[in-house]
Parts: sequence; structure tokens; C-alpha cells
Amino acid sequence: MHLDGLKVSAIIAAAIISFLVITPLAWLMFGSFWSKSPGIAGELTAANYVNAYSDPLSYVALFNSLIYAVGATTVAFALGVPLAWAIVRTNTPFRRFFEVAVILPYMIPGILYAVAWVFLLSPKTGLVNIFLMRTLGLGGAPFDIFTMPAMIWVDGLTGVPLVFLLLSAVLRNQDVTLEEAALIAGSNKFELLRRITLPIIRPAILAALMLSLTRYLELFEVPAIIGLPSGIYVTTTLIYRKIESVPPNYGGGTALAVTLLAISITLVYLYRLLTRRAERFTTIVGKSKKASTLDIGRWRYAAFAYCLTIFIVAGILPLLMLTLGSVLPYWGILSFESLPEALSKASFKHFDLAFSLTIVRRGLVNSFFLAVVGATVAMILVSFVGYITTRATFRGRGVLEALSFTPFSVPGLVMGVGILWAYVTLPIGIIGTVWVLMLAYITRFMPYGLRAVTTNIVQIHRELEEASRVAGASWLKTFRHIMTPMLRPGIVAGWIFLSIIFLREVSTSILLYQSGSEVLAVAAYSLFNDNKWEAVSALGVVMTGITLLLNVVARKLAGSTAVAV
Amino acid sequence: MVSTNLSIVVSVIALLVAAGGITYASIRLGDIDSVNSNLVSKVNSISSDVTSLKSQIGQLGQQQADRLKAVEAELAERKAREALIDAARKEGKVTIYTSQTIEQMEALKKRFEATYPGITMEFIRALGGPLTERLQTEFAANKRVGDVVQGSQEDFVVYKERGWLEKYLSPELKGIPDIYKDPDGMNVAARIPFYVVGYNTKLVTGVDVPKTWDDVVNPKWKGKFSIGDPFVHPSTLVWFDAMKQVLGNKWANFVTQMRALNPRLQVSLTPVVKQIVTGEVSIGLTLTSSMFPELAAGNPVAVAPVEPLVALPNKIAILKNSPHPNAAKLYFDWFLSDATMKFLAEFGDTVSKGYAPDAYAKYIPSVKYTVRALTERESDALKKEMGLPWN
Repeated sequence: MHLDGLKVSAIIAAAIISFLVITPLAWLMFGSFWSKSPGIAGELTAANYVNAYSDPLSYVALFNSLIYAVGATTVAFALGVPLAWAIVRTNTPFRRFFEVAVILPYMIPGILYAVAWVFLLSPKTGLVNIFLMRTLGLGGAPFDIFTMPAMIWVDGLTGVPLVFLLLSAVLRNQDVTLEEAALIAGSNKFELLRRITLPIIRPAILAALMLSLTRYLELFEVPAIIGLPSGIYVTTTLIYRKIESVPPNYGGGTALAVTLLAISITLVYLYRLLTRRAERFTTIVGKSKKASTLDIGRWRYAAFAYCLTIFIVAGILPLLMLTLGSVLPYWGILSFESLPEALSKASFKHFDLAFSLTIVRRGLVNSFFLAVVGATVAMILVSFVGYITTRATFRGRGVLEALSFTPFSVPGLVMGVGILWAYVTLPIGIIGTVWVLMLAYITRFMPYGLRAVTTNIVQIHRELEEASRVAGASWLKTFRHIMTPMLRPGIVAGWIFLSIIFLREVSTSILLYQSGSEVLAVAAYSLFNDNKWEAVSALGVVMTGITLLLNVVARKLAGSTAVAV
Repeated sequence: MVSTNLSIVVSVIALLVAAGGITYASIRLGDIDSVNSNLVSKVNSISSDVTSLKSQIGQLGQQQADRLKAVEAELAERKAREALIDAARKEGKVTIYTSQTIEQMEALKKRFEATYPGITMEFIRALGGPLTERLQTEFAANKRVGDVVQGSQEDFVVYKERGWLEKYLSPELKGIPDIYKDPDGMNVAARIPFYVVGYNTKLVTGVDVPKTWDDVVNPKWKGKFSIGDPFVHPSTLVWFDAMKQVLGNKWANFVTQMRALNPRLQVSLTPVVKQIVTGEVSIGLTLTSSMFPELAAGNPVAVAPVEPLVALPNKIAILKNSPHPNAAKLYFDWFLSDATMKFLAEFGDTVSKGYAPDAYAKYIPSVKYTVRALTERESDALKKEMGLPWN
């Protein structure tokens, strides 16, 4: 009986995912083999690939992309894993505060986060450089933002919240009986961490690794703001260059994007290979105890200092720059001497300008709607898909998972084109409305939600569902009453994450919005292109505030006991 | 003998008399002739007077008729205009694709909607490739949104080639020099910003302010100069093309020297201004339209007196078979009207009807060149010649 429910749900979920993913991708693949833009008479050709891959710059960019992705992932993990463990599992002071606080870097709109770091680390005007040169009496600037390591550093910081969110749900659900056993057996706490905790959260770490690598391969803002002026090309900025030209060379851009696609599909495959024997990672069983807080003694002060440092460096410093930028007369040379004078001229006129614009006012409504409703719809969908890909034993579930992951690795601009082509030709009148944006966001960012729930599902032992089934409950009922409460941490983590992303998405929206369906991030991007950095900063401060609010409300609604992140 | 002599004398006299008579007669006859001819000429002149009077009378009639016609034409035009406004009002909406700033467009929207109540003006700020892609999809799928398109001259080559533009001979075209008009009436350059060298007034003062193109590529600006990336940004590339005319055989050297400055390359010329204002660089090449908001805000940037200068026309056109064709025409006329052009000038635009903001007025005589649109092959050749990409 329950199998029928599962099968039907599986078929429905598979159908939805396939439709969402395959339609735009089919257009993209077609476009990459077409001599003109799809829609114009042309012919099938391999010229796009030949041209794209005979350009030596393509290889330089790809190599840079790999260094960039690996580098930024390393930074994000080196900082994020200890952070997640300290906040979720130990008695570090103020950890409830840090739970929200460490997500801050991700709430700041991407372009502005990069700009803020330019103002901190620029060799000429960077405040950190000026400060260090002054206090240490250095002859030259110790940091240069316009280099690959600086790019890696800045984007590595934006990845810390991702690592934190993905791992904290798992750490929280972890069965402590194993740890207790280890402690009884005489392990010390570091041994415990190394030999019990880390292996248990391995699937979650692998999933986060995979997501992180793919994300950095696709990411655009930091390479554009910092990389382009310094001549450091990565594949996405190279694609951007092809697409920005008139007439746009989408065929060439798509041909390049296919490499990124291939890499990320390989990563999904590797991940599945490594987590194939899912039972090994089961940690929530019927008789398990919920994770308790580990007393790490005096080390908790060190952990506190660590959390605080990351919070300040990754979140507060850039946000401070942003706030300054939004109230000072203009973004300009800030020396410590000129600051008091500039501050005396501070005003809210940039806020007034920003919120007098129609596009901003409409964007406020639309973005809020997309963040709340879009993230909810997405999480309902991925909970089913996540359950099916980990639990059901039909053939092709691996394909389904890979499929759901594919759009994520296609750069946003390119994916926007595929979605535009797909929905403009379909006889459903959603093109130019917020609904097409919602579909686009769900299609692109499904993997975030999916990762959050699947790592969670993998941990839950089948015996709970089996018990429910034996008791005569249908599959749906089991899913509703057994799985959903257990999945709550993962679902909440995914929801928070998706709502943040939906609020800041730019590259896909740019092609899809129309008058009436403007979103905040696009308004910010357009204002940025108009040189209205001050108004964008004002917008950024407000957007950060909205995200923070959503985050807090989501936690409250999720209930304090089940709060995941 | 005597009689013979007498007869001779008489004969002579007779001859003389005859000769005299003949002479007299001939003289008299001549008189009559002259009188006659006088009379004829008088008659002629009278008749010509009559003709001229007649024609004058005719002309007066014609003028009257012309005047009447003009009045009629004006009435017809006014009627057509009323009809256009009525039709536009029935359509209720006009959608503009534009590369102008959001701030400018919002101000224009307010003015347009105040002038023509009942017609909503929507705009979508889109640029370059993504805009072309939107248009491409709209036309291919026949799901049309945009009515009017405004943007860089280079992009309009593609638009026209692909048959996306509608011919429209707006009554507002008069007063715009022919060089700014498309020969087929499919678009017109309205805003004509020009390329200028800007500098940070806090970092660059006195003799350091560049005065010639040689000063601009002086090695002292190494790492302190910013420009759009000519490899990526078409409007920067066409500037280099135009500079060939400005610099002649010094051009190649100019390019080499500029490259040696290790310039901060931006995605367009707009962020260059920001780089200058923030002090990331000291000088840079930008556009008057991009610089104006910073000038108006009193931020530390100024135009360096480097001449001669090159203009970059920015065009406007109606899209073929647009969803609101009448509102499109109405907007087009309104945009090119003196009132709107003057308003744009207040916003920092130099326009093809001759208005310019005070800040730029003195540079207008130095704007002696205009960029030309390059074909793909010409672009590629130029990029190769310049050794692009530079980084």
C-alpha cells in the first residue's frame, strides 16, 4: 500500500524535476550546436565548441576557475567546519547568537560584499592596509585585493555560512550514544572529534564540499568586481564576456558552460559513489538520544574568540563599510583623519533616493514574495525528491538526483537564457511575471534545499518508517508524521538558505524580469551599473535587514526545540 | 553751252534735292520707326505690367491658397496628433528598453505621464548582449513587450540588420543634423555624450592635470589610469578606432604607451568615474553622461582639458510591429521635443538638438569626431592591431 503512494509521489516528483530541468537545458544544448541564436535561421554546427576550445584564454580561465573553486572551498571549510562544531555541539558562550550572526556574510548582496572588501584591502585606499601601514610602520600595503589569493579569501568567507548551515543540521541530529560509548571507552575529546564525530558527519561534509566546489565554479560577483579589473579571468567571467557582446555569442558561452557542467556532474557521481552505502551513516535510530552539548572546559573561551573573530572579519567589517557607504556623502577615499568630517555630513539622502524609485518599491514586494513563497514551494518539492532519491529503490533515482543538480552548475546568465527560451515558447503565460522567476530560482537552487534535507534523511534509520508502516500508516502519512518532524532541522536550514539566495539572485533574473516583476537584487545591480554605489549600499543595508528578519522569524516558527541552524 | 551747263546744274540740284529728299524721307521714316518701336515697347511694357499685375494677383491668390493649405495642414497635423494621442491613450502604455540610468528614466517617466495622463510609461533597463537576447526571443516567439529601444549606436547596427526597427519620420526630426539620422528613417541619435579624460581633483592638481593626449599616456600614470576594457566593451573599442583619426601616425605609439600604463580595465566606461572618485585611480577615460552625476554631486572629479574629442551617439528607435505602436510614436516625438531635450541637458546630456549642460558647453567646439560602427571583421582586426586582450 505504502509503495503505491511512494511510487506515485516518485513519478510526480520526477516529472516535475525533469520538466523544470530538461526544458531549459534542452534549449541550451540546442543553442550550443546552433550557428545563430535559437529562433534565427541557422544550421547545426560544432563551430561554437571549436571556437571556444581553440582559444587559449579558455584554458587559462578554466585553470583559474579550478584554483579559485578549490581555494575558496578550502578557506570556507577550514573556517566553517570548526565553527559549526563549536556552535552546535559545544558549550561555547553566546552560541545561540552566533548561530544567526555567522550567516551575516551571506545576507549582504554579493556585489556589495566584493566592493566592501575592495575598500578594506585595496592597496591605495583600503582601510585595513592604511591601518596596518600606520600601526606597524610598513613601507607598502601588506594586502592587495586585486590578486587571486585575495579573491579566494573574499569568496571563501561567503562560503562559511554555507558550510555552517549544511553541517549544523547534521551535527544537531547526531546520535550521541556513539560519543558516549567512546567517552566511556576512555577517548579524550579530540579523539572523539576525530574518530567519531567527523566520520559520522562525513556524508554531510562531502555533500557540502560538492556544493561548495560547484558553487564557486559558477559564481560570478567576486570574479567580476575584483578579477576583471585585475585581468584574472575565470570561466564565468569569460562566459559573461561572450554574452555581453552584441550580438551575444550564447553558443560560445554555452559551449564553455558545458565544461563546468561536466565537472559538476562528475562531482555528483563521486559523491554518490562515496555515500553509496547510505546505511553506514545512519545516526538517528528509534532509540537514539538527541545530541547534547559537549563541555569543552576552558577551550570554550578560545572557541568563543574564534567565533567572534569570524563574525567580525567576515560579517561586521564589510557590513560596516556598507553602512558607512550608505550614509556618507559618497564612496570615496576614507582616511582616519577625514572620517570625522565625512561623518558630520552623514545623511539618509541615499535611502530617500533608493526608495523613491518605482523599480525599488516594486522590487521590495516581489523579492519578499519570492523569498517567502518561493522558498516554501521549493522546500516542499525537494523534501519529496530528497526522500525519493535516498529511500526509493527504483532505477534512475541517481539520474534524478544528477538531474536536479545540473542547473546549479550552469552559470546564472546562461541558465537565464535557457529558461527564457523554454518558457517563451511554451503556451503558458508566465513569461515576464514573478512566477517565471520563481520557477527559475527553484530550478537553479534546488540542490541547496536538496542537500539540506537528504543529508538529514540519510541519517534517519528506516526502522522508524518501518514501525509506522507496520502500524498500518500509509506512505504519505508516514512521511507527514514521522519524516517531516525528523526532517525539520534540514527543512528549516534549507528554507533559510533558499530564501536568502532568492533575495539576492541577480544573473538569471536580469533576462527574465519585466516591468512589474522587478526584484530588489536586479534593482541593486542596475543602480550599481549606474554608479549609484551609495543608493545600492542603502538598498544593501535594507536587504540585509530583511534577510535577518526572515531568518529570525523562520527560527521562531520552526519552534525552539527543532531549530536547526 | 549755257543750257548744257544749266541742265547740269539743274540735274545736280535735282540730284541734291532728290538725295536730300531721300535722306529726309529716310530720316523721317526712321523717326516713325523709333516712334513705332517706342510704342511697341510701351505696349509691351504695359502688357508685361498687366501680366505682372495679373501674376501678382495670381500670387496673392496662391498665397491665400497656400495659407489656407498651411492652416489645413496644421489642422490635419493637429488632428493627427490628437488622433495619435487618443490612439496612444487607448493603448494605455508604452514600454521602453533603455540603457539610460534608472534615475534619469524615473524622472522622464514622471514628466511623460504628467504630459499624457492615462498613458503609463514603463521602462526596462537592459544593455548589450542581454537586451539583444531579449529582443531576439521576443521577435522569434512573437511575444512582444518593448515598443521603443534606446541605446548605443553599435547595437543599432545589429537591430537594423535583423529587421527589428520601424521606419518613422517624426515631425520632431527637424532641427537635428542629418549625420545623426538614419538614411532609412529607422532611428536617430538623440543623446550625444562624448569621451573625456577625467581626473580626481584631490589627487591631481596644477601642472599634473593632463592637457594633451601625450600627457594622458605619460608613464607617471602607471597603475593610476583606468579605462573600459576595449576587448570586452564595444564603446571603448570604437573610441580607439576614432582616435586613429585624431592622432594619425602617432596612434600606434599612443596605444603602446597606454598599455604600458597597466590600466585598470573596467567592464564599461561608467565604473571608471567611480574609480576616479574613490581615488583607486587618478585619471581615466569616461563619458560625459557617466561623469555628470558625480560632478553634480560635487564629488572630487573634473574634466581634463584634453582635445580634440570624440562623440558617441546614443540612438532611439521604434521597434517593428510593437504592441503599442501609437504610444511608441507619441513617446518618440515627446522624447525628441525641445522640452525633453532641454530637460535631458539639465541631466547632463549633450543632445543632437544642440543643448548641453553648462559643465560641458565649452568643450562642444572641441568635439570634432564621431565614432563609427565597426563590422565584426573590423573589430577583430583592430583588436589584433592593439594586441588585445591586454591582461
